Amino acid sequence: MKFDMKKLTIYMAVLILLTGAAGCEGYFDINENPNRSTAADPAFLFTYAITDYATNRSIDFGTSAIAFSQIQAPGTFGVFVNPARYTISTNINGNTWNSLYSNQLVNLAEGIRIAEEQEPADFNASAQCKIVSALSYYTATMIWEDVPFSEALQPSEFPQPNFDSQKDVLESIIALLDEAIAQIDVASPQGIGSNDLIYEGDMSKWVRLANSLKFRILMVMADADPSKEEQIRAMLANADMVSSLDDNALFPFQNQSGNYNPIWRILDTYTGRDNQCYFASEATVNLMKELDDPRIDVYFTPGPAADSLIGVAPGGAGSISTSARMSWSAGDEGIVRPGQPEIFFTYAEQLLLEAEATLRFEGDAAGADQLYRDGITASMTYYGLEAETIEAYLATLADLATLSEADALEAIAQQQWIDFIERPLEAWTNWRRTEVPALELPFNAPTTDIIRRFRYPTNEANANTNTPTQKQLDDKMWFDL
Amino acid sequence: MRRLLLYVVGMLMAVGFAQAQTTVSGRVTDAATGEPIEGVTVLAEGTTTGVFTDAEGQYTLRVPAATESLMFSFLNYARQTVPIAGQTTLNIALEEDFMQLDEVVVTAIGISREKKALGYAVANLENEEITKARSANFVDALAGKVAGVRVNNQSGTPGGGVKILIRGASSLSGTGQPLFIVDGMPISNSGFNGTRSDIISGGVDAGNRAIDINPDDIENLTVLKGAAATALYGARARDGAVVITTKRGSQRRGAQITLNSSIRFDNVLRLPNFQNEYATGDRNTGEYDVVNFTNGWGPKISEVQDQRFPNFLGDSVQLEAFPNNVADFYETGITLINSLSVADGDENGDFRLGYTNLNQTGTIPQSGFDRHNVSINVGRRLSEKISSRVTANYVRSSSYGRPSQGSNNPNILFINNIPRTTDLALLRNNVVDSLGNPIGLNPTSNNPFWILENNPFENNLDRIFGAGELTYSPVSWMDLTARLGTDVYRDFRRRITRKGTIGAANGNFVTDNLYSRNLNLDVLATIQENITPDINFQLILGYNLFEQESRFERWVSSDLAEDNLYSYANANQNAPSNQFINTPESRQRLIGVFGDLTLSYKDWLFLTVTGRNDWNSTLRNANIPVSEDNISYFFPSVNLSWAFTDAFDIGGKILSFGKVRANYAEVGSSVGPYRLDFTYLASPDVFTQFQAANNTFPFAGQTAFEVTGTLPEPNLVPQRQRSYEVGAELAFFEGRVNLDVTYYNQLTENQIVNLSTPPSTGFAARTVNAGSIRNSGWEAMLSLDPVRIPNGFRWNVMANFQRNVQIVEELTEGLEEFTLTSGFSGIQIKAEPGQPFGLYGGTWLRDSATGELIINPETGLRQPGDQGRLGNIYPDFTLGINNQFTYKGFLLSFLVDWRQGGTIFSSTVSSLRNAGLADETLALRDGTFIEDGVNIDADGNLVDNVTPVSNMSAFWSNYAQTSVAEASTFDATFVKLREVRFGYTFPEALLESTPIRQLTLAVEGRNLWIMHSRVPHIDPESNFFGTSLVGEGVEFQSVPSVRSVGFNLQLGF
Repeated sequence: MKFDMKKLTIYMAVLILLTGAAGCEGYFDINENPNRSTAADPAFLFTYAITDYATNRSIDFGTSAIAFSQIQAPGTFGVFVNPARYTISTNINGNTWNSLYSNQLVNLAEGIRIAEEQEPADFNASAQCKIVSALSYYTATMIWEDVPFSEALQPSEFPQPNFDSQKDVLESIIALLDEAIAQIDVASPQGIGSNDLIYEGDMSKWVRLANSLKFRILMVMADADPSKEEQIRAMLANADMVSSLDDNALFPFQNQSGNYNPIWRILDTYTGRDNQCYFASEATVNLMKELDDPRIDVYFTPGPAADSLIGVAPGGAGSISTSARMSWSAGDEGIVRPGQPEIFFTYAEQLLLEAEATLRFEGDAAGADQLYRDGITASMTYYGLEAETIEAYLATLADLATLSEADALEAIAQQQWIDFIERPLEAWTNWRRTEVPALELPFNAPTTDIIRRFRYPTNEANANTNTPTQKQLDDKMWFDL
Repeated sequence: MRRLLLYVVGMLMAVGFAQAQTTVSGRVTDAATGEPIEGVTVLAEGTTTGVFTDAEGQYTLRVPAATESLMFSFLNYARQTVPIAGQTTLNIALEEDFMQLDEVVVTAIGISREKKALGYAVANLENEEITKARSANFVDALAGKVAGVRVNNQSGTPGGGVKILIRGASSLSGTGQPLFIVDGMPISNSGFNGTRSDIISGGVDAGNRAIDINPDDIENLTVLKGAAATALYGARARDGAVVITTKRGSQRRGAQITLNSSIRFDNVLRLPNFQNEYATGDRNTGEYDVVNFTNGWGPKISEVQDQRFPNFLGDSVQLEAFPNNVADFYETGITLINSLSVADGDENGDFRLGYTNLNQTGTIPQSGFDRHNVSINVGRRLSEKISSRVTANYVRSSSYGRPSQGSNNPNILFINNIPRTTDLALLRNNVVDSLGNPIGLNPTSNNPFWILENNPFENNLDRIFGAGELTYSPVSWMDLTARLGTDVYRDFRRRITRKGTIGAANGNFVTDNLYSRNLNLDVLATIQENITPDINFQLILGYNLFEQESRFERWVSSDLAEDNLYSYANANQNAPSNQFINTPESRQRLIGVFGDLTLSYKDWLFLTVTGRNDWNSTLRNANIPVSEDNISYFFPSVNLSWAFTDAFDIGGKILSFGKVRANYAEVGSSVGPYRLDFTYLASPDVFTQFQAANNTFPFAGQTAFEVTGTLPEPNLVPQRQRSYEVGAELAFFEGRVNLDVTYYNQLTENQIVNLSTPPSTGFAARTVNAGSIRNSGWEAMLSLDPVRIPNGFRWNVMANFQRNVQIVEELTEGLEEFTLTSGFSGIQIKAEPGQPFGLYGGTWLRDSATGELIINPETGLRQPGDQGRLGNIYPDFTLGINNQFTYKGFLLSFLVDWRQGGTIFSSTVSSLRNAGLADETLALRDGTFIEDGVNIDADGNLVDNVTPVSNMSAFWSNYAQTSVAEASTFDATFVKLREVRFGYTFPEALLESTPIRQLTLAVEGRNLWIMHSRVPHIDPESNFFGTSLVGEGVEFQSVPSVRSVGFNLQLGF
């Protein structure tokens, strides 16, 4: 049969009719992810951000920081002992940076945007997100000094954010806290509500925390920027700051599988509930022995030998046969435990900072001494010591008024160090301000001085051409004179 | 038997009705010898009506009245077309022809074409090449055999992955794996193995789904390499296509029962070279310590024979080295492959039913892989005008005991790192103490036998794929074909970590459920006509609908209550997740229309023009009207083939045949689904470097949400590849020398990538159209018969060469490099403009002017410097040379595979050196070592280093530190003896009195010998990224590759 154009046309027409049917409108409308949402409640974003903040602070950053800050000491595992020798792995460094910016801050920024744009706007929720943002930014600048703030979190306008100087970052955080404080309406039922894992929606506590964080930042800035004295004095006089143990900002890890404190979880998972990871450092143990501090029995479990409350030397690794360890249990005892909260801010920190400020900026040694003793009491009470024990200990301490200002400031800084046993970022930051207690360079350290910063992580440095030139680990930051 | 089979076929298919017009019969003989030839295809030209000659060379064919001539063809003989011209008897003498110019190959959409007509390079492999020394994954068989195709074994895991790369990696995203098509049905070759972090932190080599294809069922396979070859497949085949045709019954061969059995023995190809002089101990003091260390930095064994030390059990023993303690850990794996098929055919249909079982035990104890394939392929002619075909495959593939690789997981078998003084038998016999508690190698390391016995990975996969096809030829010049196929599988995977495992004391188990479904419909109209006696045109118009759907659900169940019970309710914590980026529950739809017009002139000039338009749901943005979004894209191709020796009739003794070809093509491709919308997800957990420490949501009863980590681009446009290719096929000395050379150049632009963004933007990445990559290269295939005696000895050399030069032409403005994937320790695979993909990692600190190492003057040790480029991950060239000798029934062939260049980082080497277990760490242990390098003095001047290292333990721990990848990175060049087969086929005369029609026995081997390598301790061919991630060039505690030797028996009845 010969080729026939007419037949061809008919066959083609039939074919197109048969097959064209499937191509109708709507056939391609399947490109929306069934497991994702295009909207989110700020409360849910807040929960994610704050849980991430607490977790990173406790484990990725925290576990390295307890080692290099010398507030605690590591076991022999490489991941624990390397940071003690200032080998800061990509995981620790990069994860912490990612955690701060692309886990916490971006979700908080979204939370703020949604809370303020929704009808009706929820300014309490927005303020809560801002206060947690302040914590994240503060953490970032205390680790890396200059960090993106003004151009951060705006991928379209600033695909390669510039870094702001530490001074500007700290000023901006203060402004952010002021904004939050101004937005909070204590009487309003609005806010993050039950997703507020810190204060369960008590907005007046958020106001006090915001003021305290601001106060702490001013104290950090005061050496490099003496003009902050005025604001500090103003806050001492009338700011509504953290004023009781009830105001402590604690992240409530749970004695419940999946929500354990991650430090406990490490012991639970890797070493069968035996603590082979977290040890006592020489710096802390020696200081506490010198001061005959009763918290020593709460903090540590001695080694097996008699009189074996021995700390691990800088850069060393603890050994279960000789060294003292951080106390631990599967119940409610000890520092490391399933429900151990992650501490963001405490009344004790507030009082000791106030003691320092009162002494330095008001010249009021008697007032400072009272705050110092109240601070120690708040700390010891938190760690479960009896009132009599606290009284007895306080009695052994010299009245600050009888000491030179330098000695008095050292006494306060010693108490801050001891109080920061579970809070390596604060211990490290405060040490950089005060250099109390004296620390030795770790064994085999690659630097000539104590670590003062991290280098910018490669994931940021590689992708952001505006990343400043890398500095050495022992180069001081702006705030640290 | 034959009747029975036909009856079965008849039951399956509707009864056809035939209309006979005239009958032609005759006899076909060999022109040289006059002997009859059995099995010659006799075809009524322009139809699909045909028969085969019988043992006497006789045929009888009823031909339609319109048929003008008959076509006679047979392998290794020149094809003849003879006009019928009213005759009823046609006796034909065929001439032997080794040039194979009439070879017909299957091209895109299953269209068979004469190879001569193709304006692009194709490679075709027949069954015997694929089943020769076969491995579980048939893709292995392509290694060294096809120019332009590079095959890379991922590990020695039973059922492990095999990566295939055609003409280099062209994409910054995606895996570069080609499209696999079986009998016209595109099937999944997913290498999905969870997220990147699943893979690098203790993932198993879960293989790729091409492993479900049974090599015994493959009749032949065509590799379509360039865009011009794959243009009709559209976006799906941007990385090339492997087109498989499965075996059919045939009228020529008649009723057949074939049995094929192989047994093979697998051993570890290469084990590290260990030192056997030092025990484990404190690396600083050299004191024996079996509690805190598993290394080789303890005391010298020969020097402490007067003392006794505790072993890992605490028993006091005299130290003794066990040189084979690692080697003895591995077993001889046994693979049994048994295949049975029955086939038959007559003029109205064909039928084949096959069953194959592959049962493999691994070299790692208690590991194995088991696969059952049942396949059926039935064709039936219903009438002169209607024919149909059904193919169906059922696959059950299971594995157990695939070992974890990488790091950060307690289940990784750090078997290489056991102290040299560890008695393996003692380890094997002391897995648990009297209370049933595990006895570790030390308090922080599991006994490897505990892991083998208690912490298995297993999977079970059930899969069905196949297609049904109906062809209607209403008129002689047109065929209409519709083919509908599907590929569905369900894969259940579980990985157990028993309670008590060191590093996971409470136990856990991870359950993965994978489901995948492809649906494909092709409708084709083929119109063929001679415009003039010299000019023929063929037009193919087609319609294609393709749907893909997949689901992935994972349950992580931890904190087990009762020991050894792996039910969800027994876990205190169950974390389900189903929202991984592209894999959770994903659906995409694609519709394409295409056309292919071929014009030929006098059988020596061929011009083909094709065009395809795709509409793809993954580029559908629901927020804008269809008319405005980017779901539609078009790609054209043109190719030309000119057989100049035929055109000028100059083919002679020396240059017997010559053809040149050229093509140009553009191909577009899109992305996976759900990449356009900004979304929030309910967070399963927060991430930490200690995965076990991750906190899961809801936290204290509160749900959490997070924004997507990747900022989407709502206006993505399809990626585009432009390529051209020129080539020549030349045959000399009447086909004794065949040369096929190709040059290609392809530029892939507008890539759709997730670009790493500074995390300070709040996002880890953003999806953009950015970057272009050029791949250009040469492929050459030379086939040479140095000796060829008619009916006697033949020596054939087949060489395949390829050189691909990949250049990242540009990324996006302001972007200097792009990270494709990353492992631990700062190891990254990156794209950088002006370079091919490279391996990046920590380097040593060097003086920038002189390149000398800057040594720390206090320690005498070299120092870590910045991250830097360590080398290309892809080779400079590869060359496969196969030698085959045949004489009578004997066949000997061996294939040598040479890979030149490329880079590999080995974590195994790094850890063996760091631990002082590698034999090179013996050097200078008692001596003094001063590193060659410079110090910077107080004035900043360079002075020669004179500080010795404190001891070799300090040297190696510094040298092999994980953060400086440079020290453990090597040139990945290798030469391997890839395949050897020696076989004998019994002459038919010998078998005449038996029911056996064919009998072949063979000894064969695969991966027999690393003839050359510059990488110490490991096989340079391994890659722990697997087939689902971009990148290779990294070995991370991978399961060592295997050497196989075995026997093969083929029996035909």
